[in-house]
Amino acid sequence: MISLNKDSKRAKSAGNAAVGLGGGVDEEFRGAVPGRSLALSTPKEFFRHYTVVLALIVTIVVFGILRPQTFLALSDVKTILTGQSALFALALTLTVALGAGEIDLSVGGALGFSSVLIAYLSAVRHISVPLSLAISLLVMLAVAAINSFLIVRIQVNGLIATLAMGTVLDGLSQAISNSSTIGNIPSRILKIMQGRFLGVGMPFWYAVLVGLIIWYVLHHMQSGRFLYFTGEGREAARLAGIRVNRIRTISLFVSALGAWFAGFILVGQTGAAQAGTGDPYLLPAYAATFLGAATIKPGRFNPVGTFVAVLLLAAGTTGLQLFGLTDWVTNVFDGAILIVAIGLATLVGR
Amino acid sequence: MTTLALSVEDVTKTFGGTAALKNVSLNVELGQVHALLGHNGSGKSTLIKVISGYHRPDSGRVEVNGHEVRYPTTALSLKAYGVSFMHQDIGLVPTLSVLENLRVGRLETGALRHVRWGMERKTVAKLLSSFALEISPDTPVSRLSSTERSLVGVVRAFQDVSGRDSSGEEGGLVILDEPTAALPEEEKKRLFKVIKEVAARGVGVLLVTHHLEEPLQFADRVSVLRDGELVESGDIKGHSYESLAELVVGHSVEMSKKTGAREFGDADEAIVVKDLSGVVLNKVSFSVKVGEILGLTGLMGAGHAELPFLLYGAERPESGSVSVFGKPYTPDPVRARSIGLAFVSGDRIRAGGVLTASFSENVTLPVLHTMIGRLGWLPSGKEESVVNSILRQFRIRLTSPHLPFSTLSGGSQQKALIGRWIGSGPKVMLLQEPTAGVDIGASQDIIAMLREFAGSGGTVIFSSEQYEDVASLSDRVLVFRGGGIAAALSGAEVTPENILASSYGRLEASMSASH
Repeated sequence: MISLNKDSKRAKSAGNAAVGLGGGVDEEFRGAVPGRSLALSTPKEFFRHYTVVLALIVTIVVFGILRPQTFLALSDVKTILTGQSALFALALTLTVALGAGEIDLSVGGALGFSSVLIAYLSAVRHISVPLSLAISLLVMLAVAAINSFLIVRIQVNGLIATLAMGTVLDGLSQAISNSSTIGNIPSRILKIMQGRFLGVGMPFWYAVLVGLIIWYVLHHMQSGRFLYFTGEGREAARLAGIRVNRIRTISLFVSALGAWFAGFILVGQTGAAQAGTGDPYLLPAYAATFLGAATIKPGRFNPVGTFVAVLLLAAGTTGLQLFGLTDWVTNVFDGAILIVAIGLATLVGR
Repeated sequence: MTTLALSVEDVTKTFGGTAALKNVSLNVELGQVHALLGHNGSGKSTLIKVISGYHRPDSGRVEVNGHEVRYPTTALSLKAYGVSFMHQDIGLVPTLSVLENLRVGRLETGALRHVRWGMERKTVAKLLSSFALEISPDTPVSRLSSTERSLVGVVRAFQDVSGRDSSGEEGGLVILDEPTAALPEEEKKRLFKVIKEVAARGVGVLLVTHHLEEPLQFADRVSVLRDGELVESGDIKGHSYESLAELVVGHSVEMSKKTGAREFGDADEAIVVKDLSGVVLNKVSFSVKVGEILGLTGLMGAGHAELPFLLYGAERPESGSVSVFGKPYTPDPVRARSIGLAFVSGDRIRAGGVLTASFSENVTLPVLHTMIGRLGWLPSGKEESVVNSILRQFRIRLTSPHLPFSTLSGGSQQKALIGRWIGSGPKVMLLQEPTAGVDIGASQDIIAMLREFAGSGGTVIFSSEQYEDVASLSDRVLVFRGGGIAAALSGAEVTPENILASSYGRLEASMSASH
């Protein structure tokens, strides 16, 4: 309830400390104000802000030296960027939910469900592409509505609620797809997702666009500031007159929209859909967001950090695969990175 | 041989030249309830901290159950001497059962260290019934009433000292720090009846309290601290509410006068409150005029601290009505902001600034909407100039405004939190304990800030138990007791002495005569 200070002894004990306060205020103060440069002035601070960027550079250099022909080949870079588009879209939108203090574990299941649903509606049911997309979008919004009703309104544990929701969506994906692969995706969908710009697949550019919008809102608009305050001090934010419940709800809608879009990307790129394809994205998405929170703006989930972190994940797994280490490497690498990321995020956030 | 539960001999403790305790001597006998009275800043808390080993006395000695306390001491060695504490917040884990809360750390184990739950259940059931508590050991604490929780806290405190019988030692000391802060009158009686019965079995109890009627009803002896000196230590017999109040307040209850009082005879009403009820508050009515500074005070738990919360809408009022500048208003934080109310919580850590966000982000929060440019872009230059003006105006010292808010001192945080709202141009500032937990320089700065705000036409309503700050800041003071307004002081009557006396109900008669 209401917390109160029980003693006024401070008046006595603090008498001395106060004496030194009066003078010297202005001098200290003038040097301090252009603070942004101060934050990066020492090597330690520089390192604190750019650990992940440096790790990315080191990874590229090391693999570049070890496997110069293949790793640095430009076409490979383009392939990697294109191939990671779904992860970019998912991780960037997840950054919004985590920034608002909400954990959404249903995004893996939601991604898979979205791709299966789009494929089912357009290829099996032969519904027109725009209508298929619209229906699947509405279904995903309904999922977000259920998530936020449970978490924000009823105040259940979001971790468990979204974990369960993800499993429900996985099951529904199996039901719709009859547990088999849906092919024959309409060419209109393939066209949207298989075009190229500067040699890199369009989905990557869409994800970049999503990232730019998120960056703009989170870092340069009042709503973004409100979102971070909600995530980092919900009660303080509420008392400052911020509509915290609205922000939390919106953030869960953003992560669901991200999952829908990533699912859309996946169908378009692969030309097929299958239940369970979303799950392998869950962990890398979290690894990327947490790793991102350890860089650029340390201690805070931020889209630029997330973007760099996805690049690091991609460079790392690709490099390891070039050594002939296959599938299991990706799992070990993603898992290990998530552990490193949360450790790093905790340390630099202090 | 008679061992005392507690013997404090000639203890002196100073902080930076100010004596918090001056040659205090005090004995608590086994089997007795000994009440310790004193207002905020009287040295009461310092004495408890000396007994608990938190502060080392400058001179003098403390003995518990015949063992001299050696500094630095640990909770463990105090426990071995037979001392246990019950603090205000009790410290029970709500999701665990009564049994688990009582016995964690001392569970009986058998082979392979398995817990003997059956045996434990019997022990706890016996323990509870010996305290006349009819609850099952398996009940989760979250399902208990607040009285039952306090009683479980008491049981826990007492079992530590009485469990020592096996070691051949007798007696013990239980220190209860404001055990009734959250309890209604009837329930207090039940709690104290139990405490008294158990003490009579041979344990010394030191009861620290603000409430004068408690020692009169339940204590055997009473000690009163005032300004670090023990002004009374003796039998409760022969004392009355009046005599105790006189000892605590420390002067005969003639009214003192404040100089330089401001008058608000013909100003408009800023806020009118009618029959407002909350958790503690019961049908409170009052009004505040534009430009006025209204202080709300009282002893802990009297209801004053709840009012800024309710007016701002941080909590829902149970009933009653509020009107702001003549218009009816249903308290709610978002609406409050839009009609010009600002609120600074007394809970700085949880509900004040966001510690992980930067100083700059924290202070610009209420005024962000004024700097939105095209396409919603927030220009960082504008933010910087707002930050700079707040830093200058309120003399806040820091290394960089981009460092986390947590790196600031408590005083600077509080100045920043009040300053950011004043900077947002509100009409009414609502505050809880604006000067609590900050150094004296900062508290004077804060008083000056709020004065200036009121001087320029703003209205201030604040709750505080720092009665000296209440006196120096307020134009008018409402003193609360038991959820209602017990006294109103205005103009020249607003002095620390009068506020303190009214808190203990000593000025009611003279006040009502003067109005």
